[in-house]
Amino acid sequence: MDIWFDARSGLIFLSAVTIFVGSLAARLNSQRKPAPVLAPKPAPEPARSLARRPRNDNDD
Amino acid sequence: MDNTLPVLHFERNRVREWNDSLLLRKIALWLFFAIGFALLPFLFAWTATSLGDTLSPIGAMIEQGSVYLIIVPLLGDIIGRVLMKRDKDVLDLFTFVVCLVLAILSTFEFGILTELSHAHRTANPGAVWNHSIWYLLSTALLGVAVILKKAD
Repeated sequence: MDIWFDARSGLIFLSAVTIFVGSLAARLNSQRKPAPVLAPKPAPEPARSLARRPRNDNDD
Repeated sequence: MDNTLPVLHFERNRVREWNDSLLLRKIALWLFFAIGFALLPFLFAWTATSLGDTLSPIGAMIEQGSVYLIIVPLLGDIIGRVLMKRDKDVLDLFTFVVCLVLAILSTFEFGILTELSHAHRTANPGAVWNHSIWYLLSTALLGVAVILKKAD
């Protein structure tokens, strides 16, 4: 039993390691992208002024 | 409208977590049901050592090139996954070429081993062990890499 790789199996294994590292980097890089904003931020509602308040007959 | 934004953020994070767990599940499924099930004959060969008067059946199986036979359908699975991707890049092309070379090498070496055994000649067992182990490790790495790359 001899598990030390020669040139052929070493080349294949190093290629597999390269592909694995590249795929992992691509995966992590794709996760770093900011997620798209699905809904726009709503504008703040303007404060209701007393002048635009509908007139009520019971105010007096 | 005000209440939808936190919900959207929450849902987006949940989708991301679900995708991550799905990815880990896919890798675990592939390692267990493809690699593990392909190696089941070796488990039975190992159990056979305790049953009869056999002389290291696992070693004999590996030296006859059984690992090469296991590797080729696994590589076919990986090549199919690479080809089914919608947007392929250079890394996918490289993966395809390496898988193809590995499949051709494994088939070729298995053919040589079979021819040697038919001619009643012996191969170098150290080289067969060496190639079997590193080819199998490379196949497992390639499979995990393809599942990692296929982002869902």
